[in-house]
Amino acid sequence: MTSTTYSKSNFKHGLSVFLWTLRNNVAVIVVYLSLIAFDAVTSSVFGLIFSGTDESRSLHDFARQLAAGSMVSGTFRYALIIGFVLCIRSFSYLHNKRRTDMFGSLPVSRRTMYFSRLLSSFIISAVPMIIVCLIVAVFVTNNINFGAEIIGVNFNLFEYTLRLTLILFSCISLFGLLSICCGRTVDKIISFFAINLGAPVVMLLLMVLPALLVMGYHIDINWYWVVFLSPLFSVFSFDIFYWLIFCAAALAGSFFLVKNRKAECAQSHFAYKLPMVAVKIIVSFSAGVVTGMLFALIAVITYSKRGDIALFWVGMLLGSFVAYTIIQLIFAKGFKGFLKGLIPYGAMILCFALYFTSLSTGFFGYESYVPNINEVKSVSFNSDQKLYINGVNILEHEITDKKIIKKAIDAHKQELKDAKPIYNRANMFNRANVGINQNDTNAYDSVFEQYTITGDNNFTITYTLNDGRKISRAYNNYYQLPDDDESLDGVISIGFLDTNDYKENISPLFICDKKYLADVDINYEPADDSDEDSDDENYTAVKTKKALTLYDTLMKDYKKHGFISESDNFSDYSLTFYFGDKSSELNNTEAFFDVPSNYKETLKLLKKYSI
Amino acid sequence: MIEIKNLTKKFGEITALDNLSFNVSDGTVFGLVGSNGAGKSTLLRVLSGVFQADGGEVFIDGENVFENRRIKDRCFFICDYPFFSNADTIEKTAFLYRSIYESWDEEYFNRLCETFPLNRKQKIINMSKGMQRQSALILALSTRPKYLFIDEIFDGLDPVVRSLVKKLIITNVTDNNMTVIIASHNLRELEDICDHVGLIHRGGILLEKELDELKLGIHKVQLAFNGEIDENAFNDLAIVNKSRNGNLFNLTIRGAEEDFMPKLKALNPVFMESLPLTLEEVFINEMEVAGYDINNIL
Repeated sequence: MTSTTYSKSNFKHGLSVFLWTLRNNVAVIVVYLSLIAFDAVTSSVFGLIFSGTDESRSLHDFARQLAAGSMVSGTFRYALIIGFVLCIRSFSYLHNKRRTDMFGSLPVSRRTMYFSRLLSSFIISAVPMIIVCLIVAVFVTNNINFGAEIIGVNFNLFEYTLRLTLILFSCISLFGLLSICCGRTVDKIISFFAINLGAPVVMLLLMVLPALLVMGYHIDINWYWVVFLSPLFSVFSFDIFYWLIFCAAALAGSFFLVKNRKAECAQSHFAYKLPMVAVKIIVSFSAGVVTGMLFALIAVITYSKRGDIALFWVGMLLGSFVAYTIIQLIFAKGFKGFLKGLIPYGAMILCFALYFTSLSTGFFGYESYVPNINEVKSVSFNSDQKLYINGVNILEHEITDKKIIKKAIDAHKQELKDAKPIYNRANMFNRANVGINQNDTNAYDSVFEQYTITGDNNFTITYTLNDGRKISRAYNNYYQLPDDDESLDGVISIGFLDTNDYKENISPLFICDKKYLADVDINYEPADDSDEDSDDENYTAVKTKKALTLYDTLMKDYKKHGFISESDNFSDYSLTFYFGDKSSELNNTEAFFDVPSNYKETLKLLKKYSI
Repeated sequence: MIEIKNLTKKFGEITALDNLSFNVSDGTVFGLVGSNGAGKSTLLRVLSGVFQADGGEVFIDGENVFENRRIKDRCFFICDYPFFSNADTIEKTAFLYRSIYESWDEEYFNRLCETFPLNRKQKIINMSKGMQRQSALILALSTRPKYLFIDEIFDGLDPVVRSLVKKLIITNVTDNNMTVIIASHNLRELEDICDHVGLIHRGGILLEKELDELKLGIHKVQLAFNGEIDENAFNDLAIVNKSRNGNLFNLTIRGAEEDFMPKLKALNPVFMESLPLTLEEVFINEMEVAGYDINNIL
């Protein structure tokens, strides 16, 4: 009979539910372990097969490495899938009326019930994965630092295991939180994938859109922000502390929400409406912007200079409304509450319209802002030309010379003045090319370049202010090497690119230590020769001692005569210096130099070395 | 003891329970009857802690039941369609209840498994509807609940098992002072085991009485007269329902027999007989009064 004292603790109840869930999922566990075993065997067999084609390496090592990589990544995939299946099963007691009756009437607190099931889902999916990782570490690779050959990055296996485990737990805790908020399993699944897939798309669109509308916008895609709601893709930008906080937030949210969740929501409607609204906005926004961009492409394809914005908005409204309607039909099982649900949709459109308008009108002065010379401490230019010495791009250093800073600011202002009218006339996908060639109407190229984001010929100017803030502006296709003024669009090339100061600060010829000099190409091209295929043209490659002698002689002449800027005074010789840190294939760069006609010593040497 | 005070439960704009108040004493079998959608199942779900009340309070043994593990440990709820997962057997489900319910009685569980014609290792999902309910009852009674809430337990049970179920419930009530609330439309079965009845309609309670008192408080009287009789002759009686076939009258009269019989005798009928109403007839009459009759529905 009933006792007056009650001895069952929450822990005991939790343990009971946990063990019962394990027992109920024996079939899932068996399938999971079978998949892992199958994967381990096939990985090893394929490892052996492929290792037979590589004679330069130890068959045993290669097979072992391949098997290890396949096993770890394969098990992680299975862990995610099994975790997903278990979450659906474990939290179905919140979404099925009959299950709700049974589990809701048990003398187990809602929190204990929820967290026991969450834990069981996590343990079942994570433990085999962790064990496989440890087996791989201890028995397969005999080395916890593996992965250089397998996944391109040299991970510590324990760190890697921790990373995978945390990603898995983040996914499960988010899934659990959504399970509490949703009334139906289908809503839960849609919400989970909408957030994991849709949120990064929204973030990317928000980050990329300014580049289409704001001249000089410096795209700095922060991948942490892109995947900040998406544990499924967190592997691309993993920060252990952020994901720990994410898990803690999801668990805390679950802790507070699960207790007062209305059980009658099962098989009916959302218990908490925030995820529903978020999913509707994410889906309708993504669909709207993507459709808008597709519509705006019509203007690009037809070489139209106008109408892209209108077409974008037609597509935006159409795409977002259709997506919203579809998601509303799924969530509400009909049109019930459709009009009321349009309020967040309307708010989203309004907010986006404000954002879009601010971008189109210069983004609150972002477009036209150039700092005052008194505010600027240094300026730096970042082009596609890079020189890595010991892993550092030394061309990205900051110039503090006030004369150069002034020239940069003046040039920047002039460029804005000249380019703005042209920029405004171009359609949103073609603006990337405004700088280099105003007549370029190759729409597909420009679209392609825009989406490569850091495409060829990007030029970024960065001001470091006295208070430490950095102001960056990026212009596509503006930057050309200093000696080649053929296609410069004016403003950036004026003045400072030809100064000794600038060249000494930027050209690898002056920055790199001559110990990194690999070789020099001597190019001979008579200036008065109009025939491009003339036999008089030639080039000679010189190496080591000769290259160093040539370099030293050139430097002597430079010190004696300095630079010249008039092209009429150049000789028929030009040089290409190749620098490289021999320790790495990545660290190569080159510097061009048109030899002036008054560099007598250098020209004498060139005649001697040339064929 | 179960005390329900001003209980209200809403589902959106629908009020399923509207300011409901009544008590259920320990050791009683309380029959919950009412029209479809009256709120019987909702009330059981609130009592068992599945639903949280939107207004009012539910006290069991003086404590609020929602999220109260100690109180919920004394209760067991068998819903109208008990849930069992695909792999569940009686044995497997017992594994959960055994570890959760403090008062789980293993010996009684074994005895019940032998009493009912069921295989405890068979998957419950493959059993018939009646057998599933028997399984649920075995598990419920094995937890030795002080309060048992049952929704439509007699649905799908054959007459023999129905008798067995009633016997088991009565035995537990008498031996262990168990309190049972049964919601059912099968009024014939309820009549056999209930000592109290509550009639719910549109979320409110129409009446709540001891079954005997209820049945003694309303009667069906058949009267035959030799000649014409003025129908106004019955005006000073508490007539609930009246039908006439020539000179033969069928009256449903509220009140004690000794109160209305002398008045009827005074009308000199050639034949007069007073019959007790079945629970079903009481239900129909009371619901008619509440405006829920066939004519209104149709």
